[in-house]
Amino acid sequence: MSLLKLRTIAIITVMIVILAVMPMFLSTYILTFLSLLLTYMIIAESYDMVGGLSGYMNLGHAVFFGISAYLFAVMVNYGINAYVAGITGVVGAVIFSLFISYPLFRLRGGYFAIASIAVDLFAMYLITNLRDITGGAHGITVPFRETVKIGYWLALAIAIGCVIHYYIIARSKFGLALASIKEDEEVAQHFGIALYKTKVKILVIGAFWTGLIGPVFMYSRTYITPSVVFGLDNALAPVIMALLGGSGLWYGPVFGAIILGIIQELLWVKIPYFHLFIYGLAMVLIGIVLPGGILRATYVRRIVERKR
Amino acid sequence: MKILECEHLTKRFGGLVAVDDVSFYINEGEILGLIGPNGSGKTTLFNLITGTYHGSPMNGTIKFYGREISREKPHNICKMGISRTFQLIKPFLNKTALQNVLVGIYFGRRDKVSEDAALPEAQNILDFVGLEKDKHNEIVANLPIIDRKRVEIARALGTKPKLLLLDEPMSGMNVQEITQFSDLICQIRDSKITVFMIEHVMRAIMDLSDRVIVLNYGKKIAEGHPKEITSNKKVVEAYLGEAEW
Repeated sequence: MSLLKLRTIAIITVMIVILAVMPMFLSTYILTFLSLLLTYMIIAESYDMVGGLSGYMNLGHAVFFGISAYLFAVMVNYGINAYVAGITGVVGAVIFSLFISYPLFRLRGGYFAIASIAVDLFAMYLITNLRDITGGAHGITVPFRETVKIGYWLALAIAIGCVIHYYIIARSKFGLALASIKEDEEVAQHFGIALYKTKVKILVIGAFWTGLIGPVFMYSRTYITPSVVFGLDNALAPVIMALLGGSGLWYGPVFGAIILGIIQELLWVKIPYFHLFIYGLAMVLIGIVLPGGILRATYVRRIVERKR
Repeated sequence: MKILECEHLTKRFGGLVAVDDVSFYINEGEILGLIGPNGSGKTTLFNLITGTYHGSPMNGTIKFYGREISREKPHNICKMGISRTFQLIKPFLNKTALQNVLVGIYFGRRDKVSEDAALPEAQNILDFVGLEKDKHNEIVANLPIIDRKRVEIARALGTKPKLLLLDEPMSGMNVQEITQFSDLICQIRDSKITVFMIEHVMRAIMDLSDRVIVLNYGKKIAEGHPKEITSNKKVVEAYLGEAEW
């Protein structure tokens, strides 16, 4: 058992080291793409903390990403130190999640999902129309150079932290409380689980990790528009990635993000916006063929279990 | 000593008065039975006590150890020491039997339980309710109904309740299973947990209960020793209809 654990830890360490030294050898294009993949991973993983563990499908998860990115960009443009701006972005996302959790968590199931997407669109239109501060639909830029490598490292660090945190939560008492809420809220409350508190806590944690990657994304991209960060495809992407990989498994959203990220990148060159069609198709196919995601499919499970 | 005292409880759903001015008490250490025809408000009464309708209006007072609890949230009521099972049993189907009990142990108590202490305790509780050892780590969805009912009771016991509300624990059971569960309920009472149970299986409730309350159309129509209840004219009428001759 401990030998197996040791081996797992060794493999993971080697993988992390390889990922960490990659910027020394790879072209800027590949590196930018990998950073994007990592960003997707973090957003999908932090979405799945809420969606997969507590069962609340938050279609507006991108709002935390967008808010932290925009806060960061606006503050940098006002000449504030980048670290301070980044931290403010995270804090802003967390406070915003606290603020919207009160109305949102009075709703359940599909109503919650619809209301959450409304929050995302509300933020998008708000930022589009605050033209003097945010640059409106034209987007906003930050004056950084040579950002690709550092952006990649930051994204890698955040991704590792996020995945580990997901893993820990899923196995903790807190994770058991979330699982009970996912199974049956009405019953869970009769066994001492404070529903509202538990749900807010996981939403805030999800907002925190997404809030962390927002400024990093802004920093390495140096240019964003409201529709890039808040847009519908960005709001739906984490949900579909998580569902495709296996919602509720710590490695599910990571896997889904890699697959859909690669498909999107390949299609983007040849048929722009065709990836949206793929998202829709993926969602339909998951529903029909793989309700638990790829990693829960029987033949995949068999391989994983044989290795154990 | 009275563990629970309810006075003038009334609960309306629109025009329907589900529980109508019901007053009763439960003595510490007894088994109190609750019977009545379908739709007479038994489960509603349970829901009132455990705070299911928290936030929606009701009349009357519920006192647990002398403390008013009718405004408390369900999770607080659970932590105070009132736990329950559901009529249509609702264990967490995608979790193992052990995890179900652990939910009760971790969250349903006022004092925090460490993970090392919780696991053996959960196993003890599952043994106590009679679930075989090899089923402890089985996903509940794979267990037969009778074992799910055991898990349902075990989860409630995990919260270390002082008062346990059982909502028709024996419905749909055969004679042998009823005997097993009757023994289990006696053992629960012997471990110093007061039991308040709804049951339609008359043999069981008449054997087990120290006292019985009868509801009909939301009103309490009788209360007393099981023997008095069975010969009570009102009760017989409620179940069988009025004699017309």
